[in-house]
Amino acid sequence: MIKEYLLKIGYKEKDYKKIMSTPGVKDLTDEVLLYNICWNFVSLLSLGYPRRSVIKMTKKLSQLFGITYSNIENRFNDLVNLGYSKDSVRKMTTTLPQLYSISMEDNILHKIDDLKKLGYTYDEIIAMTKLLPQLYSFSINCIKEKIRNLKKLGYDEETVLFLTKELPAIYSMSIENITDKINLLRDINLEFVILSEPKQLIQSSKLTYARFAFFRDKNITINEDNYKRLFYDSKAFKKSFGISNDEILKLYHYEEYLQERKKKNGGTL
Amino acid sequence: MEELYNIGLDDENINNIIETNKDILNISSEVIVSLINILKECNCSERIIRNIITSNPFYLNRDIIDIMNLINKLDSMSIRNLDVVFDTNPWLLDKDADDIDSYINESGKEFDDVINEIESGIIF
Repeated sequence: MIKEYLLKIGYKEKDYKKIMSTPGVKDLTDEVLLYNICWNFVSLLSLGYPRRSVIKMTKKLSQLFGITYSNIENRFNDLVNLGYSKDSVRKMTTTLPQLYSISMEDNILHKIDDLKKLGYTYDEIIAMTKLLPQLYSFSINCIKEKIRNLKKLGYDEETVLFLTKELPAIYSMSIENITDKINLLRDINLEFVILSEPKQLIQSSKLTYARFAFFRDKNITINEDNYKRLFYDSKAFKKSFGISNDEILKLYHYEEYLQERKKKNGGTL
Repeated sequence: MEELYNIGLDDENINNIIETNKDILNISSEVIVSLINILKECNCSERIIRNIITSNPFYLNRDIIDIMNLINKLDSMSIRNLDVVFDTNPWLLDKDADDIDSYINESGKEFDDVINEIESGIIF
């Protein structure tokens, strides 16, 4: 009965197997589980999620069928009451359905308090978590560790707060990745980009390096006046300089730069 | 977790990954290796794979067939350099092929513009 119903509303056989083996769901009686599936599915649709998002969320977090629809609606409203728009709540929970299963007091509100203690204002926390809801899933120790690592790279507390407010995704990057990006920009005398436009740190170092090397070979110096060229979107770059990302990446190899850097630094990056 | 150590992730990274995505503890080694191998087939270096998994630990929860479908979809759109695309936007790997179709249909954007957004990491 449950299987037939799930297949009918858009799940696949493998999803059924996953759902039925999920802790918190597998122990429910067929009757209760079927009731939860029906009501929770409808409840999520009525909260404005498209059907494919509901399927996606419940595939990602099948425990959603282990809680009641009133839990779902209450959590949705709790998040709206924190200051997120309904649309933001839908986007955040589609990215991180765990927002429906973690505790409001012990996790979400506690995390907001912890982030305030680190120096962020309430509004900044809401803005950051809107962009990176995963912040709610990171432990405060993990966040503090990232801050410590950024300080080791030479940034003071105020700068670290600024960088992470501008680009919360920094908290999701490994320190290796952040260090690579910062080292590259320092090596090509573009460290100012980190402070003036932290959002550019999102671009893959592989592409940033290839584009820089391309301009270097054309005897074009990239500096404060024209650095944005390195970060053009792929269409604008091709239109402006007549070469695609694909072509440029075949010509210039970031791995060679890393090897060169390693040699220069006596074996370390 | 041996598979994660094998690509050069250290204890600190692995603990952070588990903290974000506790389900990883229930995922079989075979699945993790397969998901890592898919990225390798997309020409991702271990450095890039480490970035992808650290930034988006939920990648390891993905269904292998769904990921293959996503990659085939990107390939059919002539999006090359998936290593750079995923390195810039590791969260793209949370999407399904039909999410891209829906975005194309619902955004009203030109096909070329959607490709540009995906290549430049400004989508999703």
